[in-house]
Amino acid sequence: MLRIVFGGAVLIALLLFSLGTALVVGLQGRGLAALNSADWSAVKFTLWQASLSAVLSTAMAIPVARALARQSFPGRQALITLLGAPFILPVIVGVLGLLAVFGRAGWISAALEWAGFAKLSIYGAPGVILAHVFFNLPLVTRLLLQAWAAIPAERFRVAESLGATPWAYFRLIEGPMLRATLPGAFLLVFLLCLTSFVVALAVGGGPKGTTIELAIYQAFRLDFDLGKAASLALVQFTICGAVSLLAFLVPLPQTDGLGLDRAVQRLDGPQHRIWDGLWISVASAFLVLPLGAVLMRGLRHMLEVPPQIFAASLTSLTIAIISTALCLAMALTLAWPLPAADHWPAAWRRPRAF
Amino acid sequence: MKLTSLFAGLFLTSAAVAETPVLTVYTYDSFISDWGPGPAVESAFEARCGCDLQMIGAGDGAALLSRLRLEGTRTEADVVLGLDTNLTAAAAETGLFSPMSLSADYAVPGGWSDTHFVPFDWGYFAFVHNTDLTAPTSFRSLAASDLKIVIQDPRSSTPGLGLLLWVKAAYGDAAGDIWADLSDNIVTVTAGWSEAYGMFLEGEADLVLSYTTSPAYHVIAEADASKTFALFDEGHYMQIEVAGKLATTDQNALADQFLQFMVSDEFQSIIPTTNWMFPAVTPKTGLPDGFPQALRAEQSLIFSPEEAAAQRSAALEEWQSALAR
Repeated sequence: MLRIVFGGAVLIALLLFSLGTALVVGLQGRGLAALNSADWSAVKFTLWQASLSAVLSTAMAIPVARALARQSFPGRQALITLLGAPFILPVIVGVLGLLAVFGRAGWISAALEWAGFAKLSIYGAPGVILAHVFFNLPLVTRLLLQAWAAIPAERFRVAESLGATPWAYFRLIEGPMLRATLPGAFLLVFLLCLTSFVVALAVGGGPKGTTIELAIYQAFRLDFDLGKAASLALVQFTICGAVSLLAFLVPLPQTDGLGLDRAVQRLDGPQHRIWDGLWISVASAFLVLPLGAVLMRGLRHMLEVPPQIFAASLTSLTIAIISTALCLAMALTLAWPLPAADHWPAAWRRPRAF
Repeated sequence: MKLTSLFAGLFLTSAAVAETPVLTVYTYDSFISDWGPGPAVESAFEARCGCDLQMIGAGDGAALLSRLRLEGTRTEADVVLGLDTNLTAAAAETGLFSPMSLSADYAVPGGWSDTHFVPFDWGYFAFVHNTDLTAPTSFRSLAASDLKIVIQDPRSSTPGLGLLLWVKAAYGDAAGDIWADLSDNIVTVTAGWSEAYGMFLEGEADLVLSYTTSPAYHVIAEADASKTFALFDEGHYMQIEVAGKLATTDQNALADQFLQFMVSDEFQSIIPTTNWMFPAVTPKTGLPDGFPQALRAEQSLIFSPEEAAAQRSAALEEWQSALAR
């Protein structure tokens, strides 16, 4: 009983804060008539870049995660840990790291110039997609890797003893897992790219790279047109809602079967060694080179760090710890009453990808 | 018993707090950062006012005004510090600011007279580059060259808006053509000043939109003389940063004291090497070594607050359509 009360209270608070504010914003809005042609092209660009970034990030994460799941090599764990880095990096630091490799004064441009070719220019749509894949590919890879690790090892052993072909592996074991995991991963990346505007603008090359988020920013900050800001926010909210609904409707197969142990001992590793090695090398280079560039620049100035940085770090730590505790407490209270709701229709209790 | 003493304690603390008047100043974030003027200003003012000066950061200048408009007459702020003359027309129109003026020996080019706001510093927008570059001498020569520039978006950044008005002030109806000619020189347009300046330092562009005082930062703070700014024949657009008193303040005398302090030697001598702008009143000790000269009056471009407000939307549309092509 108690857990229902607590869980319910948290749920109501969350709904009030999210949907309640959305409702207020909706009432403030002046409808779609408030949007001009520039706003609509911002909506189009936002949708386009978020979809493409999400498709590329998830599609490329599949071979990378599979390679990491079935190969073991020294440094594997370190690489997996490193996959968390771009996500927590301040956006501007990540962008500068990327530019150190792919920019006009970057390593690739320098190599091209040395070889007598023109400099590489990523500014514009390619830059936006490149940056979004840089920030999100590692995230999706980690999500998929967890899902791969959750497949009971017995299944792989049975498949092996039956002499399953790679296609059979995919169809019977990995396919259902991907169908359960990918919609959620796609949605996550889509939403992150939908609301990004510093990246989109920095490497987007100009007003062509305008996202809805920037248009909201302008309406609120520069024009103080709250009605228009609300209309734009509502468009963004509707897109998020529609995509969430789509991802929610994708039928999820039951992937959690019984397994005796969780250690994934893949017997099919060696036969994919070259292909997997290639994917791992490409992905790590894409990830490690920009991070390395940032590190190399940073290390030189490590000793010059002013004392204020330490105080600032402490503030960041304190805020992070308190937020984590709050978030965990609320999430646990929310999850708590769920098993108690045995009488819910089966469809509601289906596991979700997120 | 314990509870009573707890309440008594709380009461005494709040009474003690109530004895120290609090002056709330809204400002932009970088003003109160550890590297900005904030810390020195706070200790200097608190030493003389017997008050608690609370400076609250609210984004940048434009976000500051949006916050005030949202809060309206319910605002806690007594003073707002950090609007610029591109925003003061809209700010005065809200009716939230108290009419006032302070006489001082202002060093602002063109002098200063305003019914609601007092300047605390000013600067010129300029393109900053490495000293080994043969710099362009005008927007036209920049557009004709294949030099690459990084600029900021006028919709999200104060320098970006400054550049928009600079081109408009220099070229009027031809501003759209200048932007069209410049479009192949622009590497990218960033959301804020830091991204653009960071990209320039990384070598992504030959020039970056900043201030004439930016090279002085490298000289004074980093002993690096490798940066300078390009002097343009059209003149340079100015930014004048101002403060104003809220009509709803409950600390009228204290707010006046703060604004008086703001144009005093003590406050003004903090400005050059923390905010990297020209002080509104030149301190007795003069400007620090390495600081650039002020330009001549005829090289200083600026729209009046009313003109700036009237020009903005059209100039923005012109900019957007020229660059979106």
